[in-house]
Amino acid sequence: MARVRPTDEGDRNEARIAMIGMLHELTVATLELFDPRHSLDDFLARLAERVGCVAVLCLEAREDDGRSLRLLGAAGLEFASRGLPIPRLADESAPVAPLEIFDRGERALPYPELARPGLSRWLVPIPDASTARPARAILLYLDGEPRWSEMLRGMLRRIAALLDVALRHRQRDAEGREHERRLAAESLLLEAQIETSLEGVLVVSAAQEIVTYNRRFLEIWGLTDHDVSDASERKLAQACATQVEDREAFLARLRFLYQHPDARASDEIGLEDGRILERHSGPLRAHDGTYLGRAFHLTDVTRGKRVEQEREQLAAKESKSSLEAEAARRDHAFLAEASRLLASLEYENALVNLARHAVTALGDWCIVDLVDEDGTIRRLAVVHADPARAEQARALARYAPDPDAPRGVAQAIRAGRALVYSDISDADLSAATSGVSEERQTLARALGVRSCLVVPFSRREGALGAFAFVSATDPRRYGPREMALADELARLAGLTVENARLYRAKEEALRARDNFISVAAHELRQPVSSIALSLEVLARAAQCAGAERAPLPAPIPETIGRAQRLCRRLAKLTTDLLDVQRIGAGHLALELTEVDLAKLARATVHALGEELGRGGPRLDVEAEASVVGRWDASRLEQVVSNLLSNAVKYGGANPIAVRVTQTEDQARLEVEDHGIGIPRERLGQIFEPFRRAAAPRYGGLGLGLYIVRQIVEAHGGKVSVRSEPGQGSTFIVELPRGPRTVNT
Amino acid sequence: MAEEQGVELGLRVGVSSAGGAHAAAEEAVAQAMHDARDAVFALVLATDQYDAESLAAAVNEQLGLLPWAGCTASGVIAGGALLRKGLVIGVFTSRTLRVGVGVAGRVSTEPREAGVAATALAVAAMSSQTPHGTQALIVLPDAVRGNAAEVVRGAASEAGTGPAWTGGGSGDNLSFVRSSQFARGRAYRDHVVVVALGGAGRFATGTHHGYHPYGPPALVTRAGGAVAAELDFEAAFEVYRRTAAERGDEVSTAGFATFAMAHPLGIPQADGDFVIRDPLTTQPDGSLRCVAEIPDGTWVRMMEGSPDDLIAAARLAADQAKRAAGAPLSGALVFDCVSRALILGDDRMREELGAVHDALGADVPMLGCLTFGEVGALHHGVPQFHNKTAVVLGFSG
Repeated sequence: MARVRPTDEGDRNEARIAMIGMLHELTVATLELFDPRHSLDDFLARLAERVGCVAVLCLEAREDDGRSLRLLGAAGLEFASRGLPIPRLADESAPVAPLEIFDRGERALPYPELARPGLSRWLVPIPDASTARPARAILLYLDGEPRWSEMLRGMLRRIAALLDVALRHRQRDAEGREHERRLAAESLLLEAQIETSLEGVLVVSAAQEIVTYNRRFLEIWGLTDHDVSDASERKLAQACATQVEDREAFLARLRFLYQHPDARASDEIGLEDGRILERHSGPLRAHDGTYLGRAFHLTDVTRGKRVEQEREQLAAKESKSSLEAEAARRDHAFLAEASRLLASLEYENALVNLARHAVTALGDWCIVDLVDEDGTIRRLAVVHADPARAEQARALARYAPDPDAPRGVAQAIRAGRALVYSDISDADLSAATSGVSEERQTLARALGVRSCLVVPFSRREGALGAFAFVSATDPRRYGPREMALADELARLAGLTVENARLYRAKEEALRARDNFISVAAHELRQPVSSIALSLEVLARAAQCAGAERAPLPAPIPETIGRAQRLCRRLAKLTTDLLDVQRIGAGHLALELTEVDLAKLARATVHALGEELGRGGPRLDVEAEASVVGRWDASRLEQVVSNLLSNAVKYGGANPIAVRVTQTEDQARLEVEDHGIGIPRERLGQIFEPFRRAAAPRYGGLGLGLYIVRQIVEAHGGKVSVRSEPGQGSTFIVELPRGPRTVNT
Repeated sequence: MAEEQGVELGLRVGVSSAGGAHAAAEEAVAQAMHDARDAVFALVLATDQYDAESLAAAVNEQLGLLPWAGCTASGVIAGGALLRKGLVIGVFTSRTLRVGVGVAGRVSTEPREAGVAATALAVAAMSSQTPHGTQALIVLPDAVRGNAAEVVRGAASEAGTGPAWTGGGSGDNLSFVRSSQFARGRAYRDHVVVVALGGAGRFATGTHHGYHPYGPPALVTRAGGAVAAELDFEAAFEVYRRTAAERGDEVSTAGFATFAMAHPLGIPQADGDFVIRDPLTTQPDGSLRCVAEIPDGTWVRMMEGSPDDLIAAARLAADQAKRAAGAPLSGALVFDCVSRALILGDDRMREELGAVHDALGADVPMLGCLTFGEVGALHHGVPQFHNKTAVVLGFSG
C-alpha cells in the first residue's frame, strides 16, 4: 500500500485527521507521564510507532558542565545500547550554544542502531518553561528521507512543550520520592541504631514531651512501654528518681538541663541497687539552629567500674609482686657479691670491703666492729656511701667503741641479735654519746644519725663482731627486709671470720709442729748416731769374742742385732724428719751424677733381702741391664728403699716385684705388692706428709711416700699409684733420663 | 525447494498433512532434511489438530539434537500452498548462521516482561555462539491469552530496531481457546517464543495490510488493553454500528464478528498509514474486544479493503522484503493474518500466496502460517503488533 500523499483536499483532510488523532493520543500519553508508574520509554515507543521511527531518544544536557548529554529514555535501542556511556564534547574552550549541545552531541552518540545508513534525524527541542532555554530534546530517527509536514512539526513541538511540563513534574516527583525514600531510610536507620544501641536513649521534645526511647532505656530503669508511652516526662523523671541514691540532686539536674537548652551534661548517677549509670545529655537542634529538644544517653557502667577497680587492684598487686621480685633479685645479687667479697682469708679487709658494698643498700654509713679473741671490741672501720664524707668516717673510726655502752654495738653484741633504733633525735644522740668526747659527738652529728640497724655476727664461740648501718636522713629506714638482709650479711661475715681464724690457728699449729720436728730431729740425730756407733762396737766385740773364745750366750748377739735394727729405724726416722724439714724449707739439694737405676734397684733389693732374712717376702727384680740417667744416687736409693719398705710393710708375705724399664728419655720404676691395698678415698692423701693409708697398728709417721714424691718431683719426674683394696698396690716412678734443670 | 549450490544460507521446507503427530513429523522432517547439509535450526509450524506435547515429542525424535522452535496456527503455508490441517518444517542450513531461542511467560499477566525475557534469552543464546549482532528476530507470542502488543514492545525494548522483526501470534482453529508455543523441545502455553538469528545472511521484512479508512474518525475515550470501551464518549459498538450504518451497512451484535472481520479499526500513523486493530467480539456493555490493544486517547477509523487490495498488499510486503534483503533470496517466512484468509477464501488466499511467492521468486523456499496478529515494522520503524497484515521475512546469503 502506497503512502497517502496529500495531493488533494480529501487527502489533506485525512492527514489532518491523522495528525489530530496522533496529537490527541500522544497528549494523553504525555499526561500519563504525570503518573510515575508510566515510563518515558513507553511514551517514546508510542511516539515511534505513530511517527514510524526507527528510534526515538530523549536527551538531557547535563547541568554540571553543559558539554555532555544524558539519555533520559529511548525507543528502538536495544537494552545493551542504553547503558553505553555518551562521550563528552571535545574542544573545551569553545562555548556551546543551548541547542548546539544536542546537535553536536548527537553525532557522538555511541548507539550502533543509529549507525544504519540512510537514517534521517529530526531534533525537537523541549523548551524549559522555567529557563526559556532547551535543556532536553527529542531526537527522532527515520529510515530514509521523510516528508515532514508542517502539521507534524507543529504537533511534535506541541507535544514537546507538554512533555517539558510532564518531565519537570516527574523530576520533582522523583526528587520528592527520593527525598522521602532517604528520609524513610534514615528514619529506619536511626530507629534501628537507637533500638540496637547498648546505651539507653531517651529523646524529649522542647515541650518536654517524650519523643522516643529505646529498649535499653526500659531495661536500665526496669520500665515497660506502657510505663513510658503513657507518662509525661515529669512522671517518667519521678519514676526514675525513686531508684536513684540522691533523688533531689537527680531531679534538680534534670530541671537545670530543661531550663538551659544549650547545657550539656556528662555525669554518673548512683542507683540504690548499686549500679552506676553514666549519663550524657545534649540539645538537639535543627539545621537552622531551632531547639528541638534534648537527648539523654545512659550507659550502665557498673561492670566497667568494677572491672576497672579490680584491674587497678590487680595492677597494684602485680606491681608489688614485681617490686618484691625485683627487690629479691637485688638482694640475691647483693648477697652474691657479698659472698664474693668475703671469700678471703684476710677477713678484716674483706669485712671492710663488705661494709663498703653494703652501705649504699642499707644506709648512708656503716661501722664495722670486731670482737677479738680476748673479747675486746675493736673498731675496724667506718665507711660512708658518699666518698666526700670518707674522711669524716675515718676520723670517727679512730675512736674505740665502748664495750659497756648501754646501747648500740655493745648492746647488740651482748644481746646476740640485731637491734633497730628509729626516730633518733638530736637529744637521743646526745644522750647516747654523753660519755664520749665532744669531737666524736660532732663527727657523729656531722655524718647524721636518724635511724640505725646494728647486727652482730657470731659463731659457736660467741660474738665475732657487728655491723652498724646508719641512715642520716630516714627516721624509719630499717624494716623487716633490711633486717633480713643484714642478718644474712652477718651470717656470712661470721662464717668468714670464724673460718679465717680457724685457718690461722691451723697454720700456727702446723708451724709449731714443723718447729718441733726440726728441733727433735736435730736433737735426736746426734744421740742416735752415738747409739748406732756403740751398737756397732758391741756387735764387733761379740763377734770377736765368739771367734776367739767361747761364744756369748745367744740372747746377747740377738739383742745387739735387734737394738741395731731399732737404731737404724730410729736413724731413718730422724733422717725422714730432717728431710721433711728440709723439704718444707726448700733445702732439698740433689747431687746429680750418672746413675744406673737398674743396678741401684738390684742393690737396694739385695740389701733389703739381706736385712729381712729368710722370714721376709720374696723380692723379684725385673730390670734391664742398664738404665742410666743423671740423678742423685743417694736420693734415688732413698726412693727405692722407701717404696720397698712400704711394700714389705703392707704386702704381708706375698711376693714383691720390682721392675725397671726405660724409654728414649725416661726411666720407669715399678714396685708391686699384693697386700692390703689402699682404700680409694685415701689414694689422694698418701703422698701428703704425716698421712697413712693403713691403720695405726702398721706404725710409722707417714713420711715415706711424701719424701718419695718430693725427691721424684725434684728430679722432674712423677710418682703415681694403682691400687685395689685387698689386691695390692703398684707404685710407679717415672724419671727423665737426660740432663735437665732440676729444682733445688 | 532444493538448496542452491554455492548458497551459504539455505532453507529447506518439509510439509505433511498426516493426521498423526508422529507420522506428520516423520514425513515433514524427512522432506526438510533430505540432502540437507549444515542444518542449524528448524522452524516448526503446525495446525492445532495435533496434540502439542505429542507433536513436540515426535519432532524431537525426528530432529534429534537439532534446535527447533515454533507455534501452532490456524493454517500453515508451504511454498504457495495453504494447509488447513498439517505441519510444515523449515530447516535453516548454514555454516555460519547462529540461532538462539528464548521462551518466557506468562504473557497473560506480564506480557512486557515476558517479551523482554524471551528476547534477552534468545539474543544471549545466539551471542554466546557468535560475536555478530542479531540480524533477525522471530517473535511468536500466545495471542489468545495475552496483550501481544505489549509483548512486542518488551521485545523491542530489549533488542532495539536494528534487527529485522517478524513473527505472529500463535493461534488455533479460530475457536480462540488455546494455542501452543514450541521451544526447548516441548510445548508451552501462555508464553512467547523468540528466535534470534545472526552470523550469516541478510534479513529484511515487508509489512502491509491493504486496508484504507472510511467514515469519520472516532476518539477512543475509554480503553483498557485490547478492549475499546468507549468511542467519542459512547459505547464503542454503538459508534462502530453508526459509522457502518452511514455507509448503509447494518451491523448487529450477532453479525458483528463476520462484519468486523472485513471492517477493522485503523490507528493513524504520521506517514498516512494505519495500524490495524481487529475487533473480535462485542461485549454486553457495548465495548469491543480486539486482537490487540487499543490506545486510550487515540483516534480510530473504520477500515475496509477489497480482496484485490489485500492481495496487492501481500505482494507489496514480499517486494519490500526482497528489495531490502537483496536478490536472490535464500528463503522467506510469511506470517499472514488468519482473518485475511477468511476474507479472501481459499481460492483468493492461494492467489495471495502465489503473488507473494511470485514476488519473492518462484524457486525461493517459503513457509509460514496464518496468525492471530503479526509482528513487523511499518516502513522500517519500530516493530509493532499488527492485525490483518501480511508480514514477509526474506533473507539472502
